[in-house]
Amino acid sequence: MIYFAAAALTTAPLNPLTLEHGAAANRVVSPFFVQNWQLFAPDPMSEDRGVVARVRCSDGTVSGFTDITSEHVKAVHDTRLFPSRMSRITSNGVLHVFLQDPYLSRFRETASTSEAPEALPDLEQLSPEEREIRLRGERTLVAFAADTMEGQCVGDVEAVQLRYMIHRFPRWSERENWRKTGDITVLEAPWSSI
Amino acid sequence: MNKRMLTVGAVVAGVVAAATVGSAASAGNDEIVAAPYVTATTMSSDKAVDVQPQAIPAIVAGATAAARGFTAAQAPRQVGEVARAASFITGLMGGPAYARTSNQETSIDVIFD
Repeated sequence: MIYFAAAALTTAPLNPLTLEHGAAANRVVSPFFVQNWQLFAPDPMSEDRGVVARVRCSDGTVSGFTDITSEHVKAVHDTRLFPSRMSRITSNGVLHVFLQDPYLSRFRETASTSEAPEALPDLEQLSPEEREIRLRGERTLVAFAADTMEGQCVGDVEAVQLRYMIHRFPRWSERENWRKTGDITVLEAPWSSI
Repeated sequence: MNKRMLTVGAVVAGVVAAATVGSAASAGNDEIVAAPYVTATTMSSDKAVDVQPQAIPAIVAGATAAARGFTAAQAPRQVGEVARAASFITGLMGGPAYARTSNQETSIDVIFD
């Protein structure tokens, strides 16, 4: 009964009860018994996001951009029964970087004048929770890229530059056109020191 | 060996076979999965979008500040969202590196554009 109530609270839209008891409900269901509605009311996937990176070595040389994502996706595809979990590192990192409060995000979309709607708001424009989550995601991806691409440097990796790839799938009206592969947007982040 | 054990064995064998065939069938998709990343690695910096170019009006900053209490209340829910996205089923099903399920407006766009 307690679990049912907690699951209902965490999956329900925001309401006064969530504000009052959301934290307690979340403690009951997280991290192993989280519920969601996706099985019963799935939203169609609209895009795929991943990350590529390049490194600057301590001797000043800069590598080319390297795909650090699809190799791990392939590993999952190749072993359905016991899939590799490495792809989670990049997918969770990207998830954290782009995660925004749904209500603030809606407001930002309305107010934005940018021609690059996929781009991220400045850190100053984020709430403390959003900022912390994004920084955590960036740290994860930078560390992962540095570790993955360590072999491209003779010495140590000094800095990492990330690029976020956003692949927007073809729309429904283009379903008959098999040559359509969707639109790709690449967001380039500044260099991050290790 | 009784009938029940035979049935269970047949079901397990079927699942393993289906997963094996499924893995083999999806191997042909590797190029499709990797293609956008090739674009991302070869694109010149001039064509890439700066990750934070949005000129968000000051009013958004005001709204963000005003909503801090509100988002703090949302924090447990956000943690839930992350845990959800990282759930075991996501890894089991594989798929794109980060398949973002769309919000309602985008869903409508995807299906009925």
